[in-house]
Amino acid sequence: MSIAILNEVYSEVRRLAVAGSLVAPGDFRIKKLIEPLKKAGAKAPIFSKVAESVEDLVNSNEQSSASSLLILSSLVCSILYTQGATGVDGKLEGIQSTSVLTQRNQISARMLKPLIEALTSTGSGRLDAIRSAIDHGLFADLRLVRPALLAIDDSYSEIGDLIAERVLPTYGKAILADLKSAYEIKGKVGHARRLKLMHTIDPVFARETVKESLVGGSPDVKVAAIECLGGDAEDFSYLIEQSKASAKNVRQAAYCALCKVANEESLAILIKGIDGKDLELVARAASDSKPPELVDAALDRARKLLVEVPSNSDKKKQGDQVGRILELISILRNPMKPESRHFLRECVEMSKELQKIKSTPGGLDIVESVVEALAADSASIDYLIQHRDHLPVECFHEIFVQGLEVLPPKKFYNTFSPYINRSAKKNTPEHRRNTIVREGLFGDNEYHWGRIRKEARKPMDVDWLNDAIAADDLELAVALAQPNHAGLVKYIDTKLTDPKAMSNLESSVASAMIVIGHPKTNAFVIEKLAASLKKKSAYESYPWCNLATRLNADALPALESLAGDAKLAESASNRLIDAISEIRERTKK
Amino acid sequence: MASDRLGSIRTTFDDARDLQEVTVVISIDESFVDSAAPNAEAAKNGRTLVLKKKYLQMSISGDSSILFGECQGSGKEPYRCSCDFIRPGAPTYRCSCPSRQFPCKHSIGLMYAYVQNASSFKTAEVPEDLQSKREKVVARAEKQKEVSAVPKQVNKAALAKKIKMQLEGINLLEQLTIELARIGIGNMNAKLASTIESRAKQLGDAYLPGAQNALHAYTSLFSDSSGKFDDKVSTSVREAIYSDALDQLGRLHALVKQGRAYLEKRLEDPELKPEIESPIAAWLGHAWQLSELKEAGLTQENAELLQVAFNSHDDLARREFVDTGIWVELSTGKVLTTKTYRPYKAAKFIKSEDSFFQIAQVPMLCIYPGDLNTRCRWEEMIPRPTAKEDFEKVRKASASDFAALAKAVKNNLKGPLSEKQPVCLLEFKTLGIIDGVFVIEDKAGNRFSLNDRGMAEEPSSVELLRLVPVEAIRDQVLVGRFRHDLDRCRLEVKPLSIVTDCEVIRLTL
Repeated sequence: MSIAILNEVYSEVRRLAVAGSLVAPGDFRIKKLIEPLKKAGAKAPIFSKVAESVEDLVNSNEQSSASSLLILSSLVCSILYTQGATGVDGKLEGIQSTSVLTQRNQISARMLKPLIEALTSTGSGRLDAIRSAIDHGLFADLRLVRPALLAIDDSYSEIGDLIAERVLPTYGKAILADLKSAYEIKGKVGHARRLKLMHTIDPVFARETVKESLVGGSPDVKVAAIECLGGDAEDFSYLIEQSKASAKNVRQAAYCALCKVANEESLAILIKGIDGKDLELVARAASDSKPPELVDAALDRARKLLVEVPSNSDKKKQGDQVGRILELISILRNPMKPESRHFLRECVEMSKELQKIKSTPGGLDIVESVVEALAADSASIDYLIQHRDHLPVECFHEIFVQGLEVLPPKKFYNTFSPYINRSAKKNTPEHRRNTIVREGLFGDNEYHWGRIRKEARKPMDVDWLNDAIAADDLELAVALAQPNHAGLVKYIDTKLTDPKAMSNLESSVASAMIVIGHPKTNAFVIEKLAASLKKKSAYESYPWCNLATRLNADALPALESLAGDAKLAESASNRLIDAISEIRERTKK
Repeated sequence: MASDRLGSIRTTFDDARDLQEVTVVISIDESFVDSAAPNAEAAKNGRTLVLKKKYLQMSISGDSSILFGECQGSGKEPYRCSCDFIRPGAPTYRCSCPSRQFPCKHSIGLMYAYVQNASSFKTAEVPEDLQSKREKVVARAEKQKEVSAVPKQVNKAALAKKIKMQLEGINLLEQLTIELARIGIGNMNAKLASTIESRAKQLGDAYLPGAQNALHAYTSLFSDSSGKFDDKVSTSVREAIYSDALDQLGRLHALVKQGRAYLEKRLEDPELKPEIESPIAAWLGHAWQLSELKEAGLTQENAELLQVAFNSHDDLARREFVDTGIWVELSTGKVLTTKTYRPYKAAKFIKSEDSFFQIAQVPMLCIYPGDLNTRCRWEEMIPRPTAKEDFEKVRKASASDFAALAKAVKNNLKGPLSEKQPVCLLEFKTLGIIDGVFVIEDKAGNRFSLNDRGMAEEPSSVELLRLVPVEAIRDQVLVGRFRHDLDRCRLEVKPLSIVTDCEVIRLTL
């Protein structure tokens, strides 16, 4: 059956349906198809039927045209539905890239749909959903490949990075073609991720793209391209070129790569950098690894500048010089050469003179920077502790932290306990040192001390606690609580009889009671917990619920009774149930 | 499915009346519990309860037919929840919590706990109150059987009145269809769309919800994703809309003609049952009851179904969420569909369906009237893990001659009220590309081109074919949705999944 004429009829019907059936009566374009249809009808009767239907439409009027049009449209569509072409001519080529997912895992629509939404939409809460999906291995479903490829451009950079680092590499070479086709050399950070990803998956495949990106890429893309370079001669020439780029981040990436290439040419470029405006960039680039000659050069410049600075009367220029010294000092760190150590200790010796430099930044900044550098050098910590009183109070915190980490408990006590000065006047160095030591002893203050206490938590010398009890320093005594300390049990007993004495320290006292195994612990905590649950704010009961998790099994009946209170808010009840479960679990063991 | 995580419950169904003992082994795994949950949130909450160790007691009956336990909740007393498999195909979930969702998070959590560590359940006597409830369930099921065996009495006068109203509704539909054709598809605007929408409500009042939906389907062609009239579409999109709109107008016209003939016939003979030879009754919006389907003999006993595709989408025209499952009935090889409609207003309380990865063993499958991809439903279903033979059956049921399949599909498409996008099983020899177009080829060299046009709510799937494993691109079965593009006069296939000899690789959701 020749369907060309039918297609023509369909086109005309469609045109009339779009325009409205009112224009159909007498329409000459569809009218002229009647004769060819009739001729075709001689061979296939269906054409005659179509011809009749077209005639009806052409001869219809305002009232009947719509119905005639619909009849004709239904008839033509029905015929055309039986005439659809299916085949495709040509040579069938095999599909090149196939899955490299070693483990496939098809997940349910209920899990898949929100995940696809998290990957392709905007809004909060998506990062957690994606992280959880990664942890549960859900990305092994191939239906997530495309959404994951889109998420590389996510406006929330943490999602883009996460996808590029933890999800897409698992798809391997199967996604290379997609990465390449979506890659834009002038693109922003998403395209930089694409380039790095292509390089990670297949460096040979990505090589040409990396080279092109170095020449004509956007700054983001260039930085990524530099990170893809190796140490061979060709790559080195690219690095030299990029160290002259106008974009700062590109130059820094080039310096970073040059720091890893140990040859004279790279050293010359780096030294030129520290002598010029790029000192800050080179210093940042050299934070991880650097050639020793660069350290020598930095040391040399720092020494010279340190001599020049005090005599400079122009405060702005003096400040610039100090700024350069600070950058140079940062190059001396990690690893510390003996010459550098010697220089930095010289700076400590002359700290009082340096503090006289009052530019911005000034001499005090130099001293702080020097102390920070020496604190990172294990061979200099004892030296710093010895010179703690010679150094300004601004450096005391750093030295105290180092002391806490390295000194044996007794020595630490002997060294730093004299700084506890309960009568020191505010805003004096004595008061600041006292505050630093006291805060350091409150081991639970994770905000300030989390950095060291987790790794270096060790028992404090008992004399700290004895001193606190002797000085009736409840805050410090409970912070330093140690198991089996009879003195503390007695001390707390006296405080329990006088609630006012505890002031705002009730939860700290309770915590100490748990540590020392005080016999009244359960009763005290449950009493305070019950009182806090009656208060409107859920915040009030929060610390007491946490403390309840540390009680012993004897507390369970009372806690269960509290949890079963029908008037209790669901969140509070849930917290209590958690506490009960935790006690059960712990005491079972 | 991770068979190592399967928890098995062996249920002995002891029917005292006919003294017949039926032993059924049902398997519970995480996907079973996932799919039993009314929604994703409930499943998540159930998992959390297990993680937080909120179950104070977890027990299983001696005959392993019921899980029961106590879960600490926000109330004074712990909630007593149970999952009763005494009717394996239709488990009963009970809980003393006030939730209106069934199963609630406590019952779901109990099942997760069982799947994760069956040994943590102690064998215990079923509490008396629970036992009496179980007996009542069995008795109720028996009574239900007796009731359903008695033919329903029809109020003929009321039925005749209803049919007359439906005929009036058909007149209204005709009037609206003619009006739309007269005005012209190209002259559709927001005001007209709104007028049509409001008048379509009258069709619902005239017991023609199907016709109402068909009219909504026409106006929604002109809407954007938020359901508002979209007058800023590109020319190419507009042209595609015009073609679909013309097709839909034809469908409305056919619905008027066939619907009127059917209703007039029923009016003459109020004894006449709903039409079962064609889907016209469903088109008009007849909500088939399972009892009606059973009475009409539209059932299949001991059916086994493998889900090969699943889609859940928001149907703006119907104002409800639609969960669609595509299944292969393994003994007949027919491709069937399940549909769960969740109106926006009641969505929270209706269980949303989910992908199903096991075999659904259905004692009594009810199948709606129709030819291709007919809708089916069941009351009871027992899951079992898939086996290699199941996939072999799918292969046997698939069409290996594309030419014959194309003819059959085209024949189906020509009916104005037929399924316009039928899903079929295609056994292909090769999957490849010609000039950038994905193509499947049968043993005789007949081809179908693959593309993503069709249902906008389904994600694109063609490009995923590059990522399927090597073994899946030769000599496998493609589950594809046909679509005839009238503008290009081409019959094309959208790939939904590939069925290999051991798995279903789903390409859409």
